[in-house]
Amino acid sequence: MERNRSIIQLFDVSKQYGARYALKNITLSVQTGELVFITGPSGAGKSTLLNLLYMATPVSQGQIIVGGMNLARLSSEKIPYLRRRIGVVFQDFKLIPHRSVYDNISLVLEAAGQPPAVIRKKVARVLERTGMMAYMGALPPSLSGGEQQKVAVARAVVGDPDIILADEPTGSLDACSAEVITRYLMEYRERGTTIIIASHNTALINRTGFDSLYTLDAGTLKPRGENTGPGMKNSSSSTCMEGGDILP
Amino acid sequence: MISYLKRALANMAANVFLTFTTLFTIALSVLIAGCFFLFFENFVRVAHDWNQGIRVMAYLDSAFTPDDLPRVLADMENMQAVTEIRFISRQTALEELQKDLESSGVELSNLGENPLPHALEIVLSSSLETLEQVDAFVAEAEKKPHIEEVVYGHRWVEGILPMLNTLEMVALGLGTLFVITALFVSANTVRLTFCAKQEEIEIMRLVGATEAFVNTPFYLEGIIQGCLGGITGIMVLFLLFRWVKTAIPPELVFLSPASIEFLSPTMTGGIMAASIFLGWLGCFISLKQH
Repeated sequence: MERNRSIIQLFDVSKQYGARYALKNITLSVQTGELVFITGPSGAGKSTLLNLLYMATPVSQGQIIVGGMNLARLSSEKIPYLRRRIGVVFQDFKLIPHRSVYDNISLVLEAAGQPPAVIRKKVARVLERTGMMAYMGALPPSLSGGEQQKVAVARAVVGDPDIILADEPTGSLDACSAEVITRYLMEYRERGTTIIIASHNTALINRTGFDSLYTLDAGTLKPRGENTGPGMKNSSSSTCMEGGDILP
Repeated sequence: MISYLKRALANMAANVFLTFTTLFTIALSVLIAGCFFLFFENFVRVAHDWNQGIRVMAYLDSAFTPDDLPRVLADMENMQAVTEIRFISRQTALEELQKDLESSGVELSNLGENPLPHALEIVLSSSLETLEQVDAFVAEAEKKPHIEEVVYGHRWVEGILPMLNTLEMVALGLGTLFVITALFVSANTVRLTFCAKQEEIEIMRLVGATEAFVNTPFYLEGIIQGCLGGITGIMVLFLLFRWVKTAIPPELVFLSPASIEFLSPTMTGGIMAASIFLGWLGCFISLKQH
């Protein structure tokens, strides 16, 4: 994937709920393959900003371009095709409770019309990488919050999306699981996937590193820093294995 | 389509309680509507048979001879509302009477001379729907040559004819209300069932599923539920019908077991189609609302 090319552009974007501005005059450009952190206090508009990018909610004002698609001009029939290019880790996981872990993840590939053999292979791969292989038949309500979050991450990445949006992706995870998941997401970054993470976990941001860091405060975006280096990629302080087990 | 069908069946298996609630409601609605149509179809048929059965007897005078028969028959056949005429000679009338009275032990051979007159049995058209029309026919027939008296023993027709018309109207009105209520309750149950799946539908849309991918299994689920509910309702109705039919005493002249029948194939097909439509409609309303 070609870097140094904007994959996401926001021009003077605002989002209003009634008279209240959740986001106000946001202008932002994200390059292909960038790792962007958006931080800020609860209620600052981080989730709303991510929601706008995959059209979970309509923009009130301004223009958003994602992967060359102007969202304002995107017909409702085209929205699924936009969403297939974006993997989302939802803050509340959004797992279907009466479907197994396997079915929740495979749903993304089924919706994209992938053949069963490919679905089996890809789902098995992400389950293994997130350490959830043993739970593939389990129903989400029987899992812990951390395990559900791993499933949510697995579902977000299984379709090999161009963009991953993660809303507090390690919020329910213990330190070790958080590291496994973050490292897993960084693998996608290395492949050129653009990743935007909304988080107020400064430890995660410092450990991971970033290409761009923005702070949202009362709906207004403020740049805070750029290019802190590779972060976790070269980290030698890791104590966790990929499956989530602690290294000796 | 097979994968959609698999997902529809998996959805039903995963939501056993909701599936059974919907099936039960549709089956109950089909049973209620089916009961009405069963009653209505049989009622209309029996009423029609009664209406077809209005017969009048024209007794001929003593001057009548068999040579006069062609002219008398022609006179009667020229009258409107006559569909069938049968000449009953004095001898035949006596034989038939003797046959009817056999079981009561009455012996007519002791009478000597046959006291019965020649007669015409006239079947009237069902277009005579009121007693006034029947009376007018009788009055006109009595003016014909050799006709001494025209009688009809169906005095009950006086009450029955207008009552049949009223009952038919009332039954149709009540039945329509029944069917509308059943439709509403069933469609609403299906709608509520699908409302409970809104979270699932939302998640599917968020991960990139097209409307066809999201909706098709739900429509299939609605159709399957409608179909199964319809089959269940009709089967229960059939069992009830069999039980009621065997429970009717044979002495009941106007409602002999032979005279009542189960729903016609057309009506059964119509109820099944309505049942499938119910499942689809509930799903359609639910998906359109969200």
